Amino acid sequence: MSKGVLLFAHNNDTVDYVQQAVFCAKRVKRFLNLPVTLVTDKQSVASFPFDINKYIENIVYQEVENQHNFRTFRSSTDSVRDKWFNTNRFLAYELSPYEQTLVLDTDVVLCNNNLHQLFNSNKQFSATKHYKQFSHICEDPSVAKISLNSVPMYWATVMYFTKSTVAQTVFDTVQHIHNNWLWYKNLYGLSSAKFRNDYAFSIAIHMLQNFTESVTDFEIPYILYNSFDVDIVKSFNDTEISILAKKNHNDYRITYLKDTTVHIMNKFVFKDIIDKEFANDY
Amino acid sequence: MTTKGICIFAQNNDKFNYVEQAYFLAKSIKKFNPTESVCIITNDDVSDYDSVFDHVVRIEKDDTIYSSWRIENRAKVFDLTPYEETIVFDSDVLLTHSTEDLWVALDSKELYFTTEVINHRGNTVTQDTVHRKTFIENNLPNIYSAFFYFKSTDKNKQFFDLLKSIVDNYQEVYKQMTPNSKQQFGSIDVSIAICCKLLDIKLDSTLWPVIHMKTPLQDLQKVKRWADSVLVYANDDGVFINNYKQNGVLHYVEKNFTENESIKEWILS
Repeated sequence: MSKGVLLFAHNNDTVDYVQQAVFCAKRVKRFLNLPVTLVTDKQSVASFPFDINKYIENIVYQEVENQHNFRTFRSSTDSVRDKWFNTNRFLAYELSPYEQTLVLDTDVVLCNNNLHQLFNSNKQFSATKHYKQFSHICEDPSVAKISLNSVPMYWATVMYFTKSTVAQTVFDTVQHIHNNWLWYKNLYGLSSAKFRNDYAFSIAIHMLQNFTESVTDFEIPYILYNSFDVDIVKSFNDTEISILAKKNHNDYRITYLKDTTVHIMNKFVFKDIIDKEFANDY
Repeated sequence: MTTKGICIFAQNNDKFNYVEQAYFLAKSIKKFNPTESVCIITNDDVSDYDSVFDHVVRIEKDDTIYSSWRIENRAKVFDLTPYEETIVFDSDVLLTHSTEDLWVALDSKELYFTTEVINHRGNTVTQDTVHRKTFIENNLPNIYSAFFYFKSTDKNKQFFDLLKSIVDNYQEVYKQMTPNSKQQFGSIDVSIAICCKLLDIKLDSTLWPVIHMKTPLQDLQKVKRWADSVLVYANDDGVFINNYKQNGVLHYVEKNFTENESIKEWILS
């Protein structure tokens, strides 16, 4: 069965997701040794100054619709509000050329090959549920649920699926939720109208678990380490990352990680690090 | 042929119309099993609701005259039931399923009590230190009387005779049997638990999920009363609380739950 990694990257004026995707693909090669397919648009690819095919085998073009999904991109000191082209993730099933697919957010920094084990599992669809964070400032109980008292949060950051009825149903359900977003956002008590894949997949999983928590078939048995946008990534190499994690208002603590895959949400610091690496790479 | 049926105690007080609750419960039972026999045990007027009950049993000697919670008569269920096999539900319960499988599961039991409950999310309540301090600190079996079952056997007659005696003398019995964290009022759960302990009754694992809707058990934050705070609805797919489908014996506790139009329509349809 064919195996591979699927990434989505649609740039806006603030974040170069294609650059992140190439960086991510490079680490996919290093740690998972799998082919990578990138779902993107021509404009985003055109802005990438180097050879995109160095680490990415396959590009699927999906032009972004003129949409009105916005989010605030934060760092420890700044914030920028910009468009967020994130609403085609439910097409992963249809667009993936692989029988077994790992979907990663482009800001996942692989530092080990743990996720490769998913390809030997009997899971038809699974997403990350359990996570750890470094910043105490984000210790908000609502993070574990999609809103304060709602259903558990699953992270679309890391998902694995096979071409199967179950997986297709999940993605079809997410599409249905996307198409009726205002209804679902109100039904599940979400305060913001912003469409977020994490929420849509969480709701879909809840629905497909027959509206209970007692089934755990959709969980990836793996902890996602989240470095939130208030954190500052100081450095990383192949397998080590150091993060200044915000503990409270002006108090940062350094955290060293070894062989630990991390989801880095501070896009601005992340870009500086990628720029430095690409200066040597290309 | 053995007669089987469901008994519901309902004695109104100044605050609550338990007869109406019993009516809703009976309607939910008959929604799935129209031929199920349901008996209300009461002293109140049931004329507005009696179409749904197959038996109306009057309590001749009412021991609850000086009681607001009015649980004292429940120990008499063995004497009052018209059935040879009886399921007893609290009146603030709804059934979201057919009782057919339940009767099959209970067939091999002589006496059955619920000892494990789940919350509306379907998660097992592992240790309820808010409401169950008396049970935990006195090592009592974790009985929930919202749902129990018995066959009318001699052995069970002994059980319920002892239970009546515990209920009648609860202050003295609780002092002896629950020295640590004594319950200040007569509780049918505590009394049954003491009875089981005294008679060394071996309790089976839970056969059927009882969804216990006491608010502190629901994993809800900043919520005083769940029924005032979370979305409730019902449709052809069932009853939903906070977008969670309820599967089992729903002990809803908060009385205004059945005032919800969607729930009422589901019950009465």
